[in-house]
Amino acid sequence: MKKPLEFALLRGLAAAGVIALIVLGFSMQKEISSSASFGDVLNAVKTAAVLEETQQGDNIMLRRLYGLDPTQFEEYALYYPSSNMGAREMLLVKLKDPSDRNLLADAAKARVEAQINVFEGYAAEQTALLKNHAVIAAPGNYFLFIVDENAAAAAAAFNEVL
Amino acid sequence: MQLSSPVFIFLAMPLGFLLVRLLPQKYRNVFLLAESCFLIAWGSPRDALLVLLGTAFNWFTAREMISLRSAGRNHYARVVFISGIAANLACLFFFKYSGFAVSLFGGRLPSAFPAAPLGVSFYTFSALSYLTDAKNDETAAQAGFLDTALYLTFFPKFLSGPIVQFRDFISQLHSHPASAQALETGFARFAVGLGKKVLLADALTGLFAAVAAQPFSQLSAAEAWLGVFLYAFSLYFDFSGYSDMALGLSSLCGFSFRENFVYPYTAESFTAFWRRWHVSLGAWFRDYVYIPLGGSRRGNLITARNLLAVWLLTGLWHGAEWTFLLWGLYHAIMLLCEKFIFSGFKQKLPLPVNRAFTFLLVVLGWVPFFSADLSYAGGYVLSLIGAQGAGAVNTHALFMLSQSALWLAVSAVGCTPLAHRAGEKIRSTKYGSLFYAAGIAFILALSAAALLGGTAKSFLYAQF
Amino acid sequence: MDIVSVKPEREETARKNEGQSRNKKSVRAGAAVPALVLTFTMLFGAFSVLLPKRAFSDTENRMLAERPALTFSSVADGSFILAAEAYFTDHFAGRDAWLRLNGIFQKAMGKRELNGVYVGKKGHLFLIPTAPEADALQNIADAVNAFALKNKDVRCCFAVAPNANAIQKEYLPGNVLPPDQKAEIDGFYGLLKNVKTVDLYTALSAHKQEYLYYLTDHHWTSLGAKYAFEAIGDAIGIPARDLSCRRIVAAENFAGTLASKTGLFNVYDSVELFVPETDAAYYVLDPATGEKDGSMYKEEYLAQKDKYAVLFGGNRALTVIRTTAENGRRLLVFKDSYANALMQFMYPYFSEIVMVDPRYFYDDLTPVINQYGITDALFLYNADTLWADTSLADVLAQ
Repeated sequence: MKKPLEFALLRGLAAAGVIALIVLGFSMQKEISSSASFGDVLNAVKTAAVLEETQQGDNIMLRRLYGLDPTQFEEYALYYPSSNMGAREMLLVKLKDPSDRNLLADAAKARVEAQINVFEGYAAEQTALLKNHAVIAAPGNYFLFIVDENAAAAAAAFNEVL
Repeated sequence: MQLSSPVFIFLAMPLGFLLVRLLPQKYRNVFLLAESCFLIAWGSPRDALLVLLGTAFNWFTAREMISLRSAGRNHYARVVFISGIAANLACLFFFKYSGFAVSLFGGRLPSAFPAAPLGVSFYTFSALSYLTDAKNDETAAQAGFLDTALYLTFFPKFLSGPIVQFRDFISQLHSHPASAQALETGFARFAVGLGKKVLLADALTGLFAAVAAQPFSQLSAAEAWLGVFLYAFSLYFDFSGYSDMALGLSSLCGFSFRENFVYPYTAESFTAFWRRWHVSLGAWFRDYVYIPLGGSRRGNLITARNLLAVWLLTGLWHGAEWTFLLWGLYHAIMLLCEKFIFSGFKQKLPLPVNRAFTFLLVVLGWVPFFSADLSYAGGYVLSLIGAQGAGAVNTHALFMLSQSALWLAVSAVGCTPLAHRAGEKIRSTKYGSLFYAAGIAFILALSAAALLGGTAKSFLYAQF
Repeated sequence: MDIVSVKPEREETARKNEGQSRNKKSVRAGAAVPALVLTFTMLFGAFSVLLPKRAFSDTENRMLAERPALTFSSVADGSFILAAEAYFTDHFAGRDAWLRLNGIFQKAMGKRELNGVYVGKKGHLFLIPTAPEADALQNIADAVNAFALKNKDVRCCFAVAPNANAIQKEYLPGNVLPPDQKAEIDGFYGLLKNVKTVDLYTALSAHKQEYLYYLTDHHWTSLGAKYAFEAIGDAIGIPARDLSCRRIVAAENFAGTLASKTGLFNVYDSVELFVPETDAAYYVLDPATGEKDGSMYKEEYLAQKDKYAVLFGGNRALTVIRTTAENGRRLLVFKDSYANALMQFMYPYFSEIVMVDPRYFYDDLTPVINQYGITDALFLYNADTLWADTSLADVLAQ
């Protein structure tokens, strides 16, 4: 039979493991303030995504599609459907204030809901894209919303470049 | 993985069963352990890691405690024991009750706060049972790591119980062949439990949701009362259905555990109710809290205190909300009244009257249980007496009543032993077994339809 | 507190006694249940995994889940597991039959509200109505009024079509109050200035016993559209009631969106098309691609599930109909899918019809008006869609 002290050490190890797992989970959620340039991030995302049949949007479109005020943010890039039956969309924002991410997330979710309402029952492929390939990533001072076949890959590229 | 998920029912369960039967006896427990760990990891890989580390911690704690005792250092052994209990409770508190505690001081948790692992309440109570039984019972203390791990992760009971005590589990661990009888009962029970959960409980919940969605100004008394009954039945069938599935699966593995629900709505008093509703939880609190506190052997005042403590804890165990505490308090008061005030009075009343009265009061007690907060509970109670301005009956109430009528009728019968007895009678006749099997098949088929008919989910994947 | 489980122990002994006396014959008979459960689960499990998968479900009118990619990160954060479960259930063997069984079961047990649809009498299905919101309506009305003011030489007309749950309310399930769409529509009309309005509610109510709306779909039939056309014709100065049409039954097994939502396929609709007896010919132009089509009827959709899409093949942002009618009137239609059925009757009276669906239209409106030389504008929406609409006001502001 082992000595009590050895068991105590093993106990301690196990407990440390549990705490480490929990802390790890915590830290993975922390905000990242990235110094990557907007252009680099945009390129990384665009390369990974498909984004066919989209056109770039201006302040008016940003207001119209998301109800957002462009002056709130440092920089943004909006790509929205050009062929009017498309659903692929991408919004990349560099935030002035990281706490704006909730606002952006709500706007993005509302946009997805509205688009699903429009396409559901009529355009199955677009509906599937919106329901299964929509990603929001908001790790800190950058925000990405993307609806695309390669949305997951684009989000991964986004996280990496930051 | 949920026992009611199609992937489990159609893939994991039959495959697991066949492998258990085909494997030689000595590998069965290891296989069950592997299957249990896989099913936990399926729900969330992080949870599986936490469970394994937690199991290691608990096992090493028990080992240390036992080796200290055998070396005669009882004082330190006790310290280790208490530290183990405290560590498990701290974990549970951290995951489940931090939010509640912080809200008491007016704060809120950061949104990045880790989600509680599924089944954490049941796991913690199992761990506490393990440590206590290892301290008090020689046989339990001898259990090896694999056996302990199997107890803590055993997939039929991992997510939602029943809370099997360690000594009950360990005594069956090395001789558990499943007889033909157990196989038949096990599969039948699994199917019936699934039906209860997916056919009855889900439908009743859907109807209740329509009632609960009504603003109070439009919630007439009739509909409010309909709502409490819908919820009472749905909670019972959901919980007891899941227990049936768990006990059925355990039978298939050769284990025989105590019943968790014994037709609680036919109870003639609150005391009897708690011998029939979530029996394993009641037994756990009795054995590990009530009796150590002195039970009912130290005078009326202490008994009252103990009862209050146990039921407030029971309420809190269900969730970290004031409403659950209120529900626990309600039951504590009812039990105290029965014990000290009404005991003589109740015995003079005929049994059906006692049953009806108890049922009504128990059903009312669910109002805080399903309320999101105390103000909703209060508003709902006002609706019950029509004091919210919507009157006694309105059109929507009639609509809900007409939709619910058949479901309520089936539920009422399902709460009594009638269906079970009828099933047993049929089964024991000459060709009855085939009818019985056909009935089970029918329930399974409808359950599959209901499982698939649940709206296809989509998920907006957000990482914050 | 004495929780001694007396009852269960008694039951356990009783069961044991029963078991012992039955052991002889029950071993064989008792094999039925395990055999059945195992066979059922294994058969369906195996078939669901092994059978070839389809991409689109006709019955549910949606794309089915794709096979998820197994990567470390997707497993670690739990998304693979969710996707795998969705994949398994979406491609479950016999899924369509199971959904129908569930629909029948729910209806038999008394459910009359399934997935946002009221299950009415005699097979009628109704979308649960949306209630109009004062702010949203004011917003739309303001935009329409501004549009009318800005384009003074365009004759504007607004027509809100009532839905089946208002017109055919006798078929609603018992104890369900129909929406008061007459009051709602009149209330909305009251907000409009300089715009002609059409009382479609009265026009359709007069024929409410006829086949005005599909039983299993949320659209109106071509017959319903015809009666609406007559009322609209009166408002915008067209001899609508003089038009005679040839009626063709295009399909008789149409099960629409409401059948998909509920899983109830016990009744089917027939799709009728109206071909005006007129000398005017037309072609349909898609300005985005430049494609021309000689007919507004896309027959390939009759073989698919969504047969209502035989009209124009569904909704597009911009569609142009060019006719040989030489009266110089050019119509701009702001629409939802109800207007698709209306165009069958409209084309002989206009040189050109430009249909705009604001939900898909992202461009500027003014160039369109100038390019096509619009003389008349018609807003045609059904009440449910209009009360929930958010795109029209935005497009009009361009």
